[in-house]
Order: sequence, then C-alpha cells, then structure tokens
Amino acid sequence: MHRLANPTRFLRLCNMVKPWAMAITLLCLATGLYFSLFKSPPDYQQSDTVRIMYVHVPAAWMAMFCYSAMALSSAAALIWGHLVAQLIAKATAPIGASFTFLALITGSLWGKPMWGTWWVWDARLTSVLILFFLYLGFIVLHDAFDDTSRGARAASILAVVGAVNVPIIKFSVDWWNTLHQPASVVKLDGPAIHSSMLVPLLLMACGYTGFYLWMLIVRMRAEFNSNKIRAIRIRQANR
Amino acid sequence: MSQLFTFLDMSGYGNFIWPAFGISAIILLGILVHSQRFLKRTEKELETLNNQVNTSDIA
Repeated sequence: MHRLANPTRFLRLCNMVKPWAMAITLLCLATGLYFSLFKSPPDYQQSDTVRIMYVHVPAAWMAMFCYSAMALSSAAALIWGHLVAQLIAKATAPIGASFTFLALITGSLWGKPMWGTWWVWDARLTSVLILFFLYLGFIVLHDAFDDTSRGARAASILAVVGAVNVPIIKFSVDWWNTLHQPASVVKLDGPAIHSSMLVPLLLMACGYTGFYLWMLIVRMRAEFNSNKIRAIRIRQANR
Repeated sequence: MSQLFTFLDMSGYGNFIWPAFGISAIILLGILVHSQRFLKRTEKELETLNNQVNTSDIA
C-alpha cells in the first residue's frame, strides 16, 4: 500500500488501469442501458418507473462508495501525510458530489409518481442530503485557505468525521420508519430482486464504478500537474 | 411509429423516466468534459512554466 504513495509509481499504475476503466465504463453502460430500457420487464407494482432504479441505485451506491474512499484516503493523508492519499480525496470529492446530486434528483423523479411527492424529510433522504453537503463542505474547505496544506488538513478532518454518516445512510431504512424501501440487493440473505432486473442494475453499477475510476485517474493527473505548477510558482517567487 | 410512441410514453411515466436518464447523462458527460479540460489546462500551463524555467536557466 505504502509503495503506491510514490507519485511516479502511482501514475504508472494509473496509466495501466485507465484504458481498462474506459473499456469497462463504455461496455457496461452500453449493455446496461440496452437491458434497462429494452430488455428488463416493468415491475408488477411500479410499472415502467422501476427503470429509474437503473440510474438511481448505482448513483446512490457510488455516492457512498466515493465518500468512503474519500474518508479513508483523508485518514491516510492525516496519519501518514501521503500526498497521493490527499489528492485521491481531493479528486474524488467532485465526482462523489455529482453522484450524490444524481441520486437525489433521480430519487425525486422516482418518488413523485410512486409516493406522490418530490421530497420528504425522512431518514434516508435527509442523510443523503447531508452527504451532499459534506461533499460541498470538503470541496469549499480545501480551497478556503491561502496555505493549501492547512486547507487539505481541515477538509480531511471533515471527511473523516463525516464518515459517520455512511452507515447511517445504509441502515436508516432499518433503524427508522421511512418512506424509502429497505435494501433489496445488498442483504445478508441474498438479493430479493429478479435476475431480469438484477443484471441491468449490476451492469449499470459496474459502468458507474468504471467511470469513477476513469475520472479519478484523469483528475489525479491534473491534480499532480497543479501541485507541480504551484511548486514552480513558489520557486519563481522566492528567487 | 406507434411502437416508438408507446416506448417513449413508458406506460404514462415517460415524463419522469426520461428526465432521470437525461439528467444522469448530462451530469456524467459534464464530469467527463470538466475533468478532461482540467487536465488539458494544467498540462498546458505546466509546459509553459517548464519552458520559462528552462529559458531562464539557459539565460
């Protein structure tokens, strides 16, 4: 793990992974969309609105996955001071915020025809909204200080503390009475969803994961460049 | 033609389903474009700065 803290080694790994991430994204999203829109059947209760699940659920999964990745790398950055870990958290934040925004918007578009309302202040929806604000807080805090290392440290602390929200989101549907349905895929006794719907859902989830990796690699390279630019500018200013 | 309209109508829920897919596509494409532009901008800036450093070192 610590071997990857070396930026050169990490970027070499990124260059190797990038074409695979691109291929997985394009292949899974193309087949996932085909199955989601043409092959999967309408639900016996929710009719065709169930198709929103294929963009909503993977976005919600990625929102939590990205936050977990951001919190873990922030913790690594705080403990060991690794630049790579700090940049992973910084590069992940806008991607995770976008997935969270998507989960909220697509959930709202699914909620209106099924629940009769765009929004309700129940535990699941509110905790995901808090997650979105945590992402925004991380992004804003990172650039709020003239001293970038202080900004990174403050944002990392926020990410680590905010990680408590991730299990709350996951178990909110079990702990409280919510309008949101309980888990039907990630369950101890196996998924309670028919394979005709599970396959497109998993394909879309794979596509979203590949997309996250692809974007993470692109943004990491850009963040490394930004760091080098800042270092050159400081050197020039001190001459 | 009627088959296409039936498909787009999505049992009367097309007004909710298509915006969900459309917004997802727009946001994902938005991240893709933003990230690529971010990378290109930093690559260009780094190249310019490196050239400046090399020129001043020679001078």
